Amino acid sequence: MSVLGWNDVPEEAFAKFDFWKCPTWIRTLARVPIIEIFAYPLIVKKGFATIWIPKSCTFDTESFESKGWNVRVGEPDAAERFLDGSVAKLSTKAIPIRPPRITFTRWGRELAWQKSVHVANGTLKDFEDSKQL
Amino acid sequence: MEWILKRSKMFVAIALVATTGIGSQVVPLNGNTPKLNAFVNRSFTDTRVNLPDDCSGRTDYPHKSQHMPGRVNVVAETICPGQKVQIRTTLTRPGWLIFTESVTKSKSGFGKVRLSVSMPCKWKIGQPPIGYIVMSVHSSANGASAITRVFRSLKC
Repeated sequence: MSVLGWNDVPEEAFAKFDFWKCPTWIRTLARVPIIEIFAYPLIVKKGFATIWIPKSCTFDTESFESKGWNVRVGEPDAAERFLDGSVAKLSTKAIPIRPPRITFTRWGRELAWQKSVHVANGTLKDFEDSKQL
Repeated sequence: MEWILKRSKMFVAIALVATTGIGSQVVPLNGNTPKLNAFVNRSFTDTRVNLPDDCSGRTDYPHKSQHMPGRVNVVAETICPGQKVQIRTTLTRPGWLIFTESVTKSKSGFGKVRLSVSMPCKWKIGQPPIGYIVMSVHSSANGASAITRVFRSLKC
């Protein structure tokens, strides 16, 4: 079964879901095992999902925008990537990473890993502050 | 599917009642529940974190290789001007127990080091996208280090 946002994501694009912009009930749905799958089409349809298309690719953006995706070209900026954990500043205070405990949902797993990365890099405060806004 | 989506709020209510014992996977219902306004309009992108220009590491998103079709590829780099730097990157395709596949590469250099890691695709038509995890450990000669991690699902 193809579910928009869950396993139906444009092949060449990178999909990013703004869970923190979503209403509470959608975020809650995304953190309940098994039925988390139903949160993703809602996130896309409500306009909280973005697909990032590489500059080298040509896309029929209208077909994706009609489904609710926000279409952007390039990739997330450095600040966003820092919060995601894919960009980091080297620090002498960094510690070895400690894998998160068992998690049951896709979003829960990503959040837990992001937190582990920021704890290891000593940037947890920046990560936590970003959620308070 | 449409029927289920229209009734998702009801599903949330039922699921909350049924799964309050799951622990960290469920939003806590007790204690100081923040007001609704605190949950809405929050975004990681609302803040701007200033990344210094000196020593940094980054891991790019895994993607299908254009130079070598049939392979998934990821690039990672460590930059630290004027210092010896090192990077170790692991590209992992998770699976059950012994079926997890991973490729690890290391590289060192001076000032800037860039590393490309790849593995053969495994996805077949009709299957859901496969999740790939990339984790890099960046380090410099003065003992500083950092970890970066990326997850992405790909039809590869």
